Amino acid sequence: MNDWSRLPVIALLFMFLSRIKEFIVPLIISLFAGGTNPTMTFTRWLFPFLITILLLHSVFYWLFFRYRLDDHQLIVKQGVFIKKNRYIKKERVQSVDMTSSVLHRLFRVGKLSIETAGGGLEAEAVFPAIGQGEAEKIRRYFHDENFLQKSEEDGEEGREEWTYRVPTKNIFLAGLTSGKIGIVVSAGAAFLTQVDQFISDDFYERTAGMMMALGMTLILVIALFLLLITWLVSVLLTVIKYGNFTITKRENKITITRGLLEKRELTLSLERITSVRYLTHPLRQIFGWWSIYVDSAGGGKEEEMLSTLLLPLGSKEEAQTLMRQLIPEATMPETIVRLPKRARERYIFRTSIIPWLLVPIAFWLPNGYFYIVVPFLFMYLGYRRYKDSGYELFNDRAVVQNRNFQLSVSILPRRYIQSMSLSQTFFQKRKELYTLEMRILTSSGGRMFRLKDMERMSAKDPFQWYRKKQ
Amino acid sequence: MTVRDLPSERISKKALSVWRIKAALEICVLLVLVVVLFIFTLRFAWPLYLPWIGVILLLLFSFWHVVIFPQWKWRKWRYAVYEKEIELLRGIFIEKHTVIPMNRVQHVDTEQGPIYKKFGLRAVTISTAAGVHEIPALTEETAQSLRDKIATLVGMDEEDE
Repeated sequence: MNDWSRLPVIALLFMFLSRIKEFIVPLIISLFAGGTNPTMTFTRWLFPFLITILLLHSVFYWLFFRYRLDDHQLIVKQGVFIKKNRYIKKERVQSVDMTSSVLHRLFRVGKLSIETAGGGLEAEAVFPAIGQGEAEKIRRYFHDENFLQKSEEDGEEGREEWTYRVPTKNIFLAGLTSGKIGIVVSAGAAFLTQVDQFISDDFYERTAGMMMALGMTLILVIALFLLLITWLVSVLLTVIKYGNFTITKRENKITITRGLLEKRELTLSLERITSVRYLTHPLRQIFGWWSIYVDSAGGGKEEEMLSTLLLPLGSKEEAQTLMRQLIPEATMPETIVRLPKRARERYIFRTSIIPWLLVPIAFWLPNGYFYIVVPFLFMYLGYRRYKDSGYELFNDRAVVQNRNFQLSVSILPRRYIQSMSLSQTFFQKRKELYTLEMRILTSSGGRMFRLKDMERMSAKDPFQWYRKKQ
Repeated sequence: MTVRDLPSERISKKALSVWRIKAALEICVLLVLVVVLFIFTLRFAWPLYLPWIGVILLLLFSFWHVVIFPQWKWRKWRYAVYEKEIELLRGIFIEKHTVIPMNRVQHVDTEQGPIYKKFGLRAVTISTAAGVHEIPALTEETAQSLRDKIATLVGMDEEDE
């Protein structure tokens, strides 16, 4: 176990490709510079020269890249001109993430990233391509307390393992109800209202005449058809991305595997999870569908707001069953403490004030009077926000429930709450209402969980609960 | 369970002078704007009451920003260090009460900028894993003893567990 290991030769290809990606702009420029000036020998050689440099750099990078597992840490040596030795202590590792693109899978390798606490966006160590067996060894090294001792016996067979595979039906439904379709439609509509400024009158004359002939019905059919296509594409993308979603629990670690083409395998330890969030939006709420996100102190993808998706979609019962297995204390609570009546006006006011203020402007626009519906819709949203907000304090965890447009139920373990604040504005003071804020460590730094306009009751006082001897 | 009193320690009265100097500097920037307004008025023959309104607004704002606001802010600022937690209370329009348990504190620092130095003041910053909290404008002795006290309490708290 004490000798230095190297990455497989195929890693060279992936290093080279990632270099090309980094230098794509200079590369393209040099390619064009060489093409248009056949007389100038210098520019002509620029592109091959750059490519060779990148290739050589990759070769040396691969040559110098070594790693070693010892009793307490993983040591990674890398760098061509500047040598970097990275020591990653076992106990500091938050997550081990293996992503295998289609190209990776062709060669039976994957990209392995190791995240530590507070590492920010960048992973602590990245192996551009590593064999499945080696990756499994590193994963087990970090996530198995006595791995080194056990390795001689070749592991224990009888260890408890629990697996949940998210039904494909759920992933399909997640795609059908994802917000993407809404974004596509509204972006398209916004574009169409602006695009007519740039089209010449002549074009209008010709096409408009044609459209008239075809009739309004056909235009509508075409629009609906396009809509359907975009919808199906978004469903397809979701299924490809999250297909085969499997969660495996082994002792206190979970491994999330997902993806049909690009496969991702993420291992994180359960006790490092700093918060659990259940999310749903109005459409999903009709059917009682939820998704679950977890936060830990490192890792997480940008597209998921730096959290980790634990369950793409499931009924409340499915979500609860899953959490009972994984983190029983983080199941959704049956009841929560709702906000007092006097908070209602404040919620409605806050949500609808800007749409109301925009009313005079709307009347300047053609057909602007239709806009008058909008503030009322926002008032209703404000009312829903009030209705859906609340909190609960259990012995070891706090629950904050609120809604922007999505409804979220956040479970915050008390030992991960870094600080707590209660604040009051001048107007809240008159109504004896408070804003509760709790700070939790996530990979993006601190995340604030906030509940506006709550009542302070001696029976369930956040400060008393938080101060209690831990 | 008894309800604990609100934190009672005040920050140094010299904070007032520091805040007022900072506020006065900000007013200077606005003053430049008013002067520019005067120049434009003379040059383009705008009505003369425009810059005068500017002057009156500036005077009113200065009175509020330099005289009243710091006084009020100082009166509202309280902190307390207990064995198990640190509490902060501050804010005029938004009154904010924060609890930081000792065992969440990662480190304590004292900080001193040029103006603070002139007045012999220091700020104490308390860092947790998810953010930094600051107690501004303490006298140097208070700041140092507070930092040491928190550091000791944090150390003791860790031994407990």
